[in-house]
Amino acid sequence: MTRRQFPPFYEKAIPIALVIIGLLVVGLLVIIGIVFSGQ
Amino acid sequence: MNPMAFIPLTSSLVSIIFSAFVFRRYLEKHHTHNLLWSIGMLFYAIGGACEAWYGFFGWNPLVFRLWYLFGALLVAAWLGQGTVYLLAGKRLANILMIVLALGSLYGAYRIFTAQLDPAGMITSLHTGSELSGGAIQTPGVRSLTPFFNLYGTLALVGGALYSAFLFFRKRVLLHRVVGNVLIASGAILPAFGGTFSRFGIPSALYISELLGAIILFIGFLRATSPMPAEKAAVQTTVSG
Repeated sequence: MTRRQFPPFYEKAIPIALVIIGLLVVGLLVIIGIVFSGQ
Repeated sequence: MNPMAFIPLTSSLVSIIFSAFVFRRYLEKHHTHNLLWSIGMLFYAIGGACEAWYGFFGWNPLVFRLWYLFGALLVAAWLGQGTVYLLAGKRLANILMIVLALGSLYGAYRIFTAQLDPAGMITSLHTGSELSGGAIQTPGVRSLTPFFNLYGTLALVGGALYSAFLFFRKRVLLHRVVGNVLIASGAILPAFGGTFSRFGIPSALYISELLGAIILFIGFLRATSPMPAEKAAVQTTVSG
């Protein structure tokens, strides 16, 4: 079975970037929630 | 004159060039998402120009109202609406577009009839060195922004992450994967800058807006032009 792959750098970097940005979105929502619940 | 005003001036110039690029693409392909992104980046440019005006020339009520409408209220939502047109069904996108257009008109009415006091920007943690919504005295106007910005940020960042994930999972169109990762990064930066600005961190908003505009632009260019590394994509044999 053959599986297409991106160059090694992208194979490693893209999942890490997706996870970090996803966590940042969650963090942003938490901060916004804290800010507005405090008003 | 505040020398920091050159930062939003640069953001504005980057955004207007970006807007022109996307609008040219809309004229070529007639895709609605390109038109909305072009409008969204024009709003980004207006917001940056108003911030620069405030830094160079000081307080002006009309400039403040334009800044709050285009730079604080509408920019993220209209960019996000472009992504909704790209990823969602046309019927749903049209319904959301009508809601957004009506909401934008209502927001414009509330902002242009609100009572302003520039002293409100120097209270709390803010120093008054940059524009802030604290100048709005009429209740219920500032509380509109989270709805627009949450919708816009979740649509734009979420849509870019979703697209990047789909292309990555299929290992196709590497330029779109990289472009969407950059678009998601660029879109989340001003959201963080705006949040940090609420905590009184000087220039957080202006710097994040400039970096956001540059990274969004690079992401758009990357997503729309194949990269050399794609030709080097390899086929590997895996067991199972």
